Amino acid sequence: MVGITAYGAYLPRMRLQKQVIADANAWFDPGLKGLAKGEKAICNWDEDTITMAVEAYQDCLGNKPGQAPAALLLASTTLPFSDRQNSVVVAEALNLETSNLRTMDITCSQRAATSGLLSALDIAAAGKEAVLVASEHRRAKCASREEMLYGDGAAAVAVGGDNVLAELVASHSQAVDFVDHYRGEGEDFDYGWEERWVRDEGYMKIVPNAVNALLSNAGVSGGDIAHFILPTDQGRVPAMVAKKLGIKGEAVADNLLQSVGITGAAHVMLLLAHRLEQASPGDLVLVAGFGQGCDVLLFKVTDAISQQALGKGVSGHLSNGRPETNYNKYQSFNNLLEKELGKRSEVNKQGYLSAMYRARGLTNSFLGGKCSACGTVQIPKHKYCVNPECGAYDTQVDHPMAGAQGTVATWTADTLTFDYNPPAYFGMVTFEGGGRIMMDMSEVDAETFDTGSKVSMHFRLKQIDDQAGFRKYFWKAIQV
Amino acid sequence: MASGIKDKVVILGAGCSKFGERWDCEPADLMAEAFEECIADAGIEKSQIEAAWQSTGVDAFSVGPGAMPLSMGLRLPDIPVTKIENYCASGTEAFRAATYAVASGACDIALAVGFEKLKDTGYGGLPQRSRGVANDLYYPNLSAPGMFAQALGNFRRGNNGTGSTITDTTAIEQANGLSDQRCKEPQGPLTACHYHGASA
Repeated sequence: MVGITAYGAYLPRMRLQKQVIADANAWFDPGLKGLAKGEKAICNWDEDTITMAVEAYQDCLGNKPGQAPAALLLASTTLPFSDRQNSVVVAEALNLETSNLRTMDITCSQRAATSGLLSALDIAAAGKEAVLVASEHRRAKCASREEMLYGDGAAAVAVGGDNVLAELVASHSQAVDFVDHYRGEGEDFDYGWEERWVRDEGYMKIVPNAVNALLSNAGVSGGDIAHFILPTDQGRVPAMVAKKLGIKGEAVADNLLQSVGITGAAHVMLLLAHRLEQASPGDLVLVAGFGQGCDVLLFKVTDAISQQALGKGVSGHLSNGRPETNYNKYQSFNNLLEKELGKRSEVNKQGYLSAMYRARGLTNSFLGGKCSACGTVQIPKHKYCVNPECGAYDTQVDHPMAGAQGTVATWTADTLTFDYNPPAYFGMVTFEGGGRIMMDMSEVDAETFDTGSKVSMHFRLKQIDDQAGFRKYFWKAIQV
Repeated sequence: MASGIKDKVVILGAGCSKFGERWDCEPADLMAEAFEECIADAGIEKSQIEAAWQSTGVDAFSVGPGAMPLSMGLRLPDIPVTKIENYCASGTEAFRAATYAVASGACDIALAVGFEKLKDTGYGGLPQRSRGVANDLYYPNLSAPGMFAQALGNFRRGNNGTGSTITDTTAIEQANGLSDQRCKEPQGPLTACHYHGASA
C-alpha cells in the first residue's frame, strides 16, 4: 500500500480585503464588485514561492534537521528562478539530508502539483519516501478578475508506504491542449479566455471524462465519493461537475475563494490538506487537477488519519490571518506599480555567488556552530569558540538552529534604512540552548512586540537585486 | 611595563571647519579650512609635521580608500600618512594614533585630521551602503542610528521607563556644540525635552 503519510500547509498572514480592490477599480469595471466578498492571502514583500514552500514542508513534517526523504518535488508556475533549481534551495533551507536526495521543479501547468504527486507516488511504489510541495505567489494585473480571485499559499504532501493516512486507490491522467489561459515566456501576467467557454468546454467536459475513466477502472461510483477536490477560480464549477458525476453536494470541497483566493498550482494540494483535516477512516477522496488535460487521483482514508499530529494545517493558517486594507501596499509588494523607492534603495545588492556558496550553511540552513570542547553554541560559526573560558580553535561542529526558539534582547524599528515595508525591525535574538545573533525581524505586530518577545526562525527574502535579477534569502525572527 | 601617555603629549593647536551644508566645498576644501585654523593656533609650519593620520568613516561616498586624500589635499611634505576607519570612532582613533606617535618618541609633532563629506548622495543623513560581501548575506538591514537605538529599550527599563540618560547626554552634547561660533543651528538650541519627545 502506498499513499499520503503526512500533509501540511502555509498561508501568508496578510489577508487583503477584496473590497479595497473593488473600491479602487469599480469606477473602471463595476463587475469587480460582484467578486469583492471576503479576503485573499497575499505574500509579504519578503515571501515568495520558495519561502512558502519551506513553511509548508515544516507544517507537514516539522523542522527537525536531517530528514531524509528520497525525493523533494516542488510544483509551481511562479518559481523565482527559471534556471537555478528552486527545490534545492527549499531542501537546504529545510536542512534535509541532501547527499542522496532527488530534487525536481515541476511547472508550466495548473496541474503541476497533481502531476508531481503522481510522480511522488511512483517513487513511493518503488519503496521510498517522497515529499511534494506546491507553492504559488501569483501576480495579476490591476483591476483584473484575476486580481480578485488569485491568492498566495503553499501545501505539502508526504507519500510513502508506512503509516499511510490515505491510500492511493487509482489514478488517471489525460492530456488536452485546452488553453483556458496561458503565460508566455518572459510575460508577467496570465492571458485568459471567456469563463463560460472555459467552463462548458473545459471543466464540464475534460474533468468528467478523466474522472469517469478512473471511476470505471476502480469500480467506484460518484455517489461513493466523500471528498471531491477540484480547484478552480469559477465558484460554481465544482458543484456543477460533481452533479454531472453523481457526486454528493456535501462532498464538494470549499475552494476557499473568499478566504485564501485561488493559489494556482498549489491550490489542489491546499484543498486536499484542508479536506484531509475533516476526513474519517474509509472516506474516498477524489482529487482532480485541471490544466491542459486532467490528473485524477482517488485515495481511501485509513485509520491512521486520526493519529496524524497536525501542524497548523490549513485551518490553523486560516485563523492566523491579519486583515490588510491597504491596496497600494499589496501592489507595491507585488511590484505591480512603478513605485518611488527612494535613493536609499539604490544600494548595490549584488549576490556574490562564491561568497554565497561558502556561507550557505548559515544563509540557507541557519547552521551555527557548537564547540566540541566546551559545548558553547555560536552563530555565525567561526574558527574560534566564542566562550572566553574556552576559545578553542577549530572545534566547531555544525549546529542547526532553524528550529531554535529565541528571545528578543534588543530591537529597533528603523525608519532610516531602506525597507520595502518600513520601519525595518532588527535586533539581537538570544537562543534557548545558546547562541545569539543580530538579525532582521518580520511580521511584527507593533502593539505586542518588545524586548522579551519569543520568536521563531523563518526563511525569508533578504534582498532583491533588480539590476542583476537575483534574490538573496536569509532567516528572520518572527514573534511566536 | 605599560606607562600610558599621561603628561607626555600636548595639543599644540586645533581647528575646525564651519558647520553647514557646504555644497561648494570638496573634502579637500574642508580639511584645508580646518588645517589653516589649526596650524595658526599651533604656531608651527607645515614642514614641522612629521607624521599624519586621516580618519574617514564612509570613504566610499566621498574620498575613497587610503590616506592620499589627506596627503594630497594638504600638500603635506614627504611624511608617512595613514588612513584609519573605525565607524564613528574613526576620528578619536586618528587622534589616538597621532598622540601615541609623539608619546612613543617616534616624532615630535604629529597631525590628526578627521573629515567626512556625506552630502553628495542625493539625500540627507548617513548613506545606505553595503557592509561587505559576506556581511551583506546575513547582517540585519540596519542604519547606524538604528544600531545605537538598540540600547534604548534597556535604558528605558533602567530609568523608570524613560530614556533620560541618553536624551540628557544628547542635549548636553548639542548645547556644547551650539556654544561654538562655527555652529549655526537654524531652529535654535534644543533641550532634553525635545529629545524625550522624539521617537527612537
